Amino acid sequence: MDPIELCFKSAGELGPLIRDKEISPVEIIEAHLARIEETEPVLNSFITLLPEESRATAKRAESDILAGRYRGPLHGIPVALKDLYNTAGVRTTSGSKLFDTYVPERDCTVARRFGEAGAILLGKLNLHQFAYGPTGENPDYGHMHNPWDPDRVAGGSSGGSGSATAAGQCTITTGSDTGGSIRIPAALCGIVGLKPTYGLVSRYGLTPLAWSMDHPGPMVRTVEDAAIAMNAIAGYDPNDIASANVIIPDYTTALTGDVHGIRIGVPKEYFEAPLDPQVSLAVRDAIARLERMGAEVKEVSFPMFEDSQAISSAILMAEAAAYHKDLLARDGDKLYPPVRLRLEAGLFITAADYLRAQQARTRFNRQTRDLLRDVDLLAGPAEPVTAPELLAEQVQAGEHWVGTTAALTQYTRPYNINGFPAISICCGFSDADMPIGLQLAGRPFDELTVLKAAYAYEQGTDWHQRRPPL
Amino acid sequence: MASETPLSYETFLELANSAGINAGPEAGPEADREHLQQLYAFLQPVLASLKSLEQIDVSQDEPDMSFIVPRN
Repeated sequence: MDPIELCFKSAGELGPLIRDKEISPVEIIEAHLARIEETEPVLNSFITLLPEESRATAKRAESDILAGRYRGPLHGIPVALKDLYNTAGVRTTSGSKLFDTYVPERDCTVARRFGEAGAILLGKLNLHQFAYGPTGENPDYGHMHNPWDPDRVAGGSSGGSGSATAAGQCTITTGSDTGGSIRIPAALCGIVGLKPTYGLVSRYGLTPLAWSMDHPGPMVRTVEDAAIAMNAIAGYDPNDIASANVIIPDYTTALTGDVHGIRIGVPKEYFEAPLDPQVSLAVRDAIARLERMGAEVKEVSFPMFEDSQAISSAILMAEAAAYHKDLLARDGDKLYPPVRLRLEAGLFITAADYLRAQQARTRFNRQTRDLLRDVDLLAGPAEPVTAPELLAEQVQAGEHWVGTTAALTQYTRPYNINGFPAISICCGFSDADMPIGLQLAGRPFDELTVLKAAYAYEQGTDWHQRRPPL
Repeated sequence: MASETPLSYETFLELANSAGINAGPEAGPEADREHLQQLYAFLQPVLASLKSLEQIDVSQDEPDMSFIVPRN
């Protein structure tokens, strides 16, 4: 099979070929390593690449499968982890040279579960330093670049995950989402990013940004692959104090293609905020398509949407400053200056400010829970704009010029505050051929409905089949 | 330095010092002074955002905290 075709096959497509011994994991890994060698000089997706280790793992997988020891849909599938996921024996930098030689002794829970499922670790992915930024800037390991236009950002903080997945460097990657860091690069790179319900995927072994809003999750090219990845990584973990002890369904049962009976609410406030008209049009078209497919769509009101930035910022900044306080005192001058400013600013948030934000969070969560009594999903843009130029401080969203960070987190933050599941899937392209993301959010632990609607939409369109010009 | 928030530059320096940010007279080098001025400017919208939290009626709401008493 053509190596490039292999690189753009989903896990859902590769799995049966591996199982039926029609293709070897060795061939798959070689194809991806070649793709990385070809595209990495432009994208800079990886901090650490594991060519020899992944080849050795692929050979073991091949032997196991030939001997009848096939482990399931992830056996032999290439994965790469954002470089704040601890990996035993493989350095984990969190995107900072301060941790350039830090080699964890233990795998994080997600890495362990992928390993047990037979997935093959290709490497560790670049990120906005300490996951504290939405653009994918990193002076220590180089900025990340968007495969659709390398002069534009890949998004952040999981920028390497976004670019690697979109460019066919890897089949499944992971991100961590505290203010949008899975969904932002997913939307800007035209892939699928699922932020699961808070507590559904273990945070154990991940470098925190803000404990109460950190969500690990998959970044992939198809909704089916999000379901396959969730089947491996979701579930209770006693090592994570916030881990939820809930029944884990088979997420692939959501892949029916049927949206009849699903009620979708469209918050009118989403379209009153600064928003690029091309994004607005594509998202409204996507929602209309879901309605034509059988979903019930109605406009709803989400008044506290406008408070989400204030609530989220106060909590995130205070928690991030608390976690990094010692590092700041010791090595503040070695951090990327914008990250240092954000961390230091968090030291000025008082306990009273933080608790006031948590009180507002209670009210915010009640309002979103109430909203999701009348509807099953909330739909809207994942991002108000397509990928900005690298290092742009402001972006134009319709008639407004908005700070880049504020704009890129505008629609994602609400679901970090309430911890509800939210997905970004590609729903079109701008005139400049840049991807546009549709965000669907559901009730806590109702990933099935989120995936069901996302899959049905995806199957009715061909956006996910487009490839970046690399 | 002019300020549109209740936080004067002098108070900011005191708070920065107590927060462990190198802001005392010993901070000395021009680079540190420049950094502190950048931080002060960066703080202005952050403080304004905190101010906006006061507009939300939270009189009936307890903080949403993750602490749950362990079952055993």
